[in-house]
Amino acid sequence: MKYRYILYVCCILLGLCIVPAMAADSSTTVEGQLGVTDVTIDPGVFMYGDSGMVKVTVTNTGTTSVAIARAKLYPSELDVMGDENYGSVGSIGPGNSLQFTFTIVADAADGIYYPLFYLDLRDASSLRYRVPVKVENTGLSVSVTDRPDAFTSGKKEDVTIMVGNPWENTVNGVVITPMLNGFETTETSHFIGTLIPDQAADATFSVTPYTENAMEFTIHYRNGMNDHEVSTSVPVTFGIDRKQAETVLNNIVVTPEGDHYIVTGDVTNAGLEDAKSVQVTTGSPAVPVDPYRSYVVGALEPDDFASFEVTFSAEQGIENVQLITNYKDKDGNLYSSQLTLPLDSAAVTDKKSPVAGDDLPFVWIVVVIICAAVVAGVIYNSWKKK
Amino acid sequence: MSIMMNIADILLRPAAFFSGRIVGDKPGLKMPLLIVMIYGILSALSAANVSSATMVMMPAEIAGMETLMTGIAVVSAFIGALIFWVIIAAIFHGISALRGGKGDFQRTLVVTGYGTLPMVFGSVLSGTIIYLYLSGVTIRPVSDPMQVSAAISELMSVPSMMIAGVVSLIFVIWSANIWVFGMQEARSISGRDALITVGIPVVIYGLITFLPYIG
Repeated sequence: MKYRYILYVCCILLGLCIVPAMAADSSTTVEGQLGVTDVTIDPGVFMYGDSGMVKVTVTNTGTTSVAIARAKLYPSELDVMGDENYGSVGSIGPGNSLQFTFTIVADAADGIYYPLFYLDLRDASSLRYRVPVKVENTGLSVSVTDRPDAFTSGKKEDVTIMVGNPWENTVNGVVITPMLNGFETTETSHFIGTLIPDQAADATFSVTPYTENAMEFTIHYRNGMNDHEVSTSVPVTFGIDRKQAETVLNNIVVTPEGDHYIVTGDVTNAGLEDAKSVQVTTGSPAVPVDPYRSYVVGALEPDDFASFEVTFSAEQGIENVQLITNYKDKDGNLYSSQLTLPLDSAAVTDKKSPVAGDDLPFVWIVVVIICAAVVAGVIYNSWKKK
Repeated sequence: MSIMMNIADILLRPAAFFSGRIVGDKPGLKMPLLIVMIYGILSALSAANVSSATMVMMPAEIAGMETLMTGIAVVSAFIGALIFWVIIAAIFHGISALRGGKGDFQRTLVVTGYGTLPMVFGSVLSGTIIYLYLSGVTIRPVSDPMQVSAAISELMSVPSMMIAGVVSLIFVIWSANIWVFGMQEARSISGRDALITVGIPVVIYGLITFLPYIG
């Protein structure tokens, strides 16, 4: 009888030892059914202040349903919104998956953060999973790849902006917009679109500056659902474009003819760019007259030259006239240069006659009268003597 | 001294000069020829001056021939003076023949040559006027050959050129006076006939010279 009590006590003690052990085995089994099978972070890399979504997919790989009390994402220096939606989740059937979506705001410095996904199960167990979130404030890389050596007020020039994506994730909606602070552009904006990591794209703007304010270009882009912008500026300093066309007049000959002058010569393009629509004419005080009021030479390539001939009239006493050369660049900007042309090398003209300067001196009349008187006297005397 | 006296006689006392000087059918031609040649040289100089001026008007293609053209003008003026001498003498001889004149042509030629002496002085004076005028005037080239003739006419019709023509005519009249006295001696005609003989060509010459200005 005594041994029977001892046996009962032993059994009870053994049972007390086994029940907790069995309880512990039951809990492990429920957690083992659940697993985080997918984590999606959009955008892949956050910039400071960016909002994004973290989607965690949990799959029940067991054969029985698992009751879930709540799901939560514990922030790690990041702000998390939307976890209140998962205060009472319910259960997840065998073979089923549940996706939990949280909104996070990256209001933290650069670095990698690990918010904790916590799944509270009704059987007092839980599932934990840390989600790595990158925060990096490096924006797009913007550079000016082409610009003129010097700008000229009112002259259209090309400026090329290159936008590169040094990030790990793709940005989209990239648009370059000129700010038009003292300059005009042909293009109101340039849409680049998507830039994958380590990709770059060019955009060329035809700009016409009017002041020496720096040209501002703003690049708008989206990182996920977040708008960002970065600016770059192109300093504007007016000067002479070293490559621009330069017309030089030489071999000039001024020849008076009739009531006007003829100017012949050569016009040479001494610049490095083409001179378009080259015209030669005369300016005040000269008055262009037919047949060559203005001589259109046309296009002149660098180091090319052409002959010209213009005709003009000028009042008597005018010593200098202006010989004007006009040309355009490829964008239609008009350039003009003047050359002072002395007329003293040419005969002075009047407007009416090819013979100028004949004034009848009074002395000739006197000479005629004297001659007539002398001859009359001689004749009279010779007849009288006879 | 004798030459100077002779010149003064020709100019101032032509009746006395020719009296007894035109002897025989073949009087000496040396002095008349010399006078005409001087007149020819002066005419040639004047022609060179005018030619240089008119060549300025010529188009560039012709202007390069200035030396040639001036040479032609000079030679023409010189030879023209000699031809003028012979022609005017022939005219005088012919008209005087119609008026009953007698005598060899060489006698008329001598008279005409002596009578050219005032025209030498006339040439100097008119040549000076033309030279001074052309020196002070600016002449522009004319590229249109069709306008060259008009331009030259314009050049010759300016007041200074007209004055030169008047001076020449005055001295031609002086020559005519000498010719009148000379023709009386050379052709043995009356003063009236000599006046007609000389007057007709001189009047025609005057009209030819000044009609363009009048017209």
